[in-house]
Amino acid sequence: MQTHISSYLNQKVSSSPLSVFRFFFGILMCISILRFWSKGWIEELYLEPVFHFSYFGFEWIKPIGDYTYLVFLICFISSFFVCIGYKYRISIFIFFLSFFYIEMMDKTTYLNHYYFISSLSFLMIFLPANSSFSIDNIIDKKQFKLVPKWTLDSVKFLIAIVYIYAAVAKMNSDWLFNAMPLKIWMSSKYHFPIVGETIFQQEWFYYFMSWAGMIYDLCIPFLLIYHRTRFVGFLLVIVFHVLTKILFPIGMFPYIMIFSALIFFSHKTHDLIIKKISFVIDKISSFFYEFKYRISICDYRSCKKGVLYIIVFFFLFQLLFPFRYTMYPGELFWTEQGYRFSWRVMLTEKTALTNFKIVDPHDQSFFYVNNSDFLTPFQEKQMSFQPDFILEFAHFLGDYFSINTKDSVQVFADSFVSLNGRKSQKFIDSNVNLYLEKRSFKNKKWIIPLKDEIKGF
Amino acid sequence: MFKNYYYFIFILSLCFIACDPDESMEQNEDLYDRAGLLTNWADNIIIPAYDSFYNSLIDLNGKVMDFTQTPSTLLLNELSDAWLIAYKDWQHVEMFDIGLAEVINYKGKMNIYPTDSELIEQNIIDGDYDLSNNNNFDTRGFPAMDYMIHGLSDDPQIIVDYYLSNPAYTTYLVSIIDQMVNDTDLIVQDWDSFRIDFISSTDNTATSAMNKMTNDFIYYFEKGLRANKIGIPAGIFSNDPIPTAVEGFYKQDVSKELALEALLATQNFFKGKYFNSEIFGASLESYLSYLDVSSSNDLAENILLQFIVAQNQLNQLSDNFINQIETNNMEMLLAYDAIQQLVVAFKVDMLQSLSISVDYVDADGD
Repeated sequence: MQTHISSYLNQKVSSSPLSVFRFFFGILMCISILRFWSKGWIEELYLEPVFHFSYFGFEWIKPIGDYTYLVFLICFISSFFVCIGYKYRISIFIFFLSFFYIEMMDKTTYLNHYYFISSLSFLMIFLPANSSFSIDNIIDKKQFKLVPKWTLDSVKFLIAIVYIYAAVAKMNSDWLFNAMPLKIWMSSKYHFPIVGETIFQQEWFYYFMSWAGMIYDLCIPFLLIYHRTRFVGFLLVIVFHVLTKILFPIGMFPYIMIFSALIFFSHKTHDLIIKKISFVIDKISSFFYEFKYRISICDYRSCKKGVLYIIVFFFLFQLLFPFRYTMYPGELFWTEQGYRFSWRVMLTEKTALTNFKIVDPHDQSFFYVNNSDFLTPFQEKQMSFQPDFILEFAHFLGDYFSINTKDSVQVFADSFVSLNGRKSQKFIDSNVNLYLEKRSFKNKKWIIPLKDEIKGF
Repeated sequence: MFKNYYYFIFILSLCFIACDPDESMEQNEDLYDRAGLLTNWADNIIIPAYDSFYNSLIDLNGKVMDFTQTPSTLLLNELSDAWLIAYKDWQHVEMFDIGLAEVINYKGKMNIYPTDSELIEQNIIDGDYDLSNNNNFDTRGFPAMDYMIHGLSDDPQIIVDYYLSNPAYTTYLVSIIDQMVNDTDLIVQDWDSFRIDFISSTDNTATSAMNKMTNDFIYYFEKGLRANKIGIPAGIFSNDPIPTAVEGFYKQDVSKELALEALLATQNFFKGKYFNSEIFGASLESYLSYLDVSSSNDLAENILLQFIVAQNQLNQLSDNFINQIETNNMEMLLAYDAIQQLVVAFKVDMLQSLSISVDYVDADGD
């Protein structure tokens, strides 16, 4: 066993796949940030709201007024440096920190693909992705032909985890046996040309898409790994992600996954890519000046031993964290305890209405709060069906309305939620004073259980 | 060889997706006719409701002219009756906050209450006011007229005397009705051309007529009906009840009548009932009955049942909400709860079945 591990750790592969991966990752991140900025979302999502939902333990990460733009600028610049491979180690580290900060500022904007980017960029801190095809090579005057095989495999492993866990998440009775929520989503796209009023309204189509989606997620890592099926696998990747891009508002995620899939191709493909891109860059830069540089080609670049422990811990986390939901009672899709950070992508449709009643304990006089006085429509929507948001907002309201009273007010929630097409049901016990409930990782006993059962993961 | 096999599977699966449309049509002939739904809304509900409302506004205008020319308690009474008729007709159009109505903030000009009686008096004294200016948002429309007809004094004769002695009161009353008539006229005219855009806007997108009208309906039900008429006066959103916030505050005994009319208007819209006729056309009810998701939950039937419950609960209240609030506010709260259940059915169940977002949320989803 030991010898197997050490012989694996000593294996070497070409450095070009990792370098190309770094290059495209950097570009996509640049584009993502520019896109986010140009849509005015920095203003809309981080500066305009008077209140922000925070991650438990990370309440100290908040938007910092106009300086928030600075964080995005830093993120943009570092992603550009990552792309061109300039001072790569520092750049990817700064990118990770700034992106993580952006992600943590407001829980409202949680997206599985933001989690993917931060996980990936964390991993990349420890990978020699600037071994070739990078400015660092020009500065250091050397590039490396080979890198440890495990560095390349770790990226493939992460991508495989994302897909396989997404597949496992779809192995539930709502998704497979009720074709939910695809049934609701597809039938509502009736205005699509040709298909909108025909196959999008067919019962069999919802089941086909649900099963196909699950099977795709499960099989695609293997199709990509095995060289005979790689090309077809890649075509499927393109088809699948373009399809989801057309159907759903999921931003840059499809492009990131398409380009990530490239890493499974052999080094020959990547050498070709590097050649083509270098050709274009040389052509362009030759207009400005002739840049002569000499790079000696080194053989192999290794990694520090300590890094291995970090990587192992990282993957243990990735493998185990998505299963923490098993430690909580109740239906996961309903209570959402342990739902995030586990690759449950586009899995449920929840609609809800949650209002808060503020009671003065002295005379039992009460009033209901207008959520829109404090929350944006986006925040209100996210808050309405996620219990941790409800609790945090309840505390905010309790603090806010207790300012001028002698004793603290009581905060109760009137909440109705509809999950995957079910009839709406009361969500929160409206007799529990949420202001007294503490924020923690413990089970939230004031969530009324779902009057139904969903089998599977 | 091996590779070719995979190509074949791949192409086959693409074919599977691009299925023969004719075959699909046979399986699903009764595809929901959204254009028909919008047409029914526009031609049989919205436009007739506006026409009828406009006519009652013209009548109201006539009564204003009659009264202001020769003020008397008799003509004041007729003016009051005409005001109520128009106010009830108004309940059938307030929810259509779409098209030109949305652009010019029509409902913000017609029915903001409580009205600011002090500012009205100030306007009358100053003489130079512009009712289309947003500073005057609560000194115009039906509530302002309520004050001018019923609120100047408890004694009708004293009200008549105000108009007899001070022409500025007449001027102001006329400005109010002029603005109401003008704005309504603009909207009625606009619907001639807006109709085409409306009916063809069947997509399920944030700016489509289909989505906007559904959202407008829900918004009106939640805010215009539930909160404004019942919730706010009953003190749901404040520490104590606010009886001065009822609709028709100065007339005092029409709040229930107006609330029932509004509830009827929303019920009729939900059922697709032609305005002023017993014919029913395509509607949210029929749409929900068509969709698998909602029909399996009997959503449409449950909504209709809840409408009846809400109606009954409203009927229990006194005609005079101010009295009701001051003597037994609990009944107001019960009526509120009954209406609230409909809000849940609309905002949660109905919107999920139709897969429409409450508000346009411009962000990536995952």
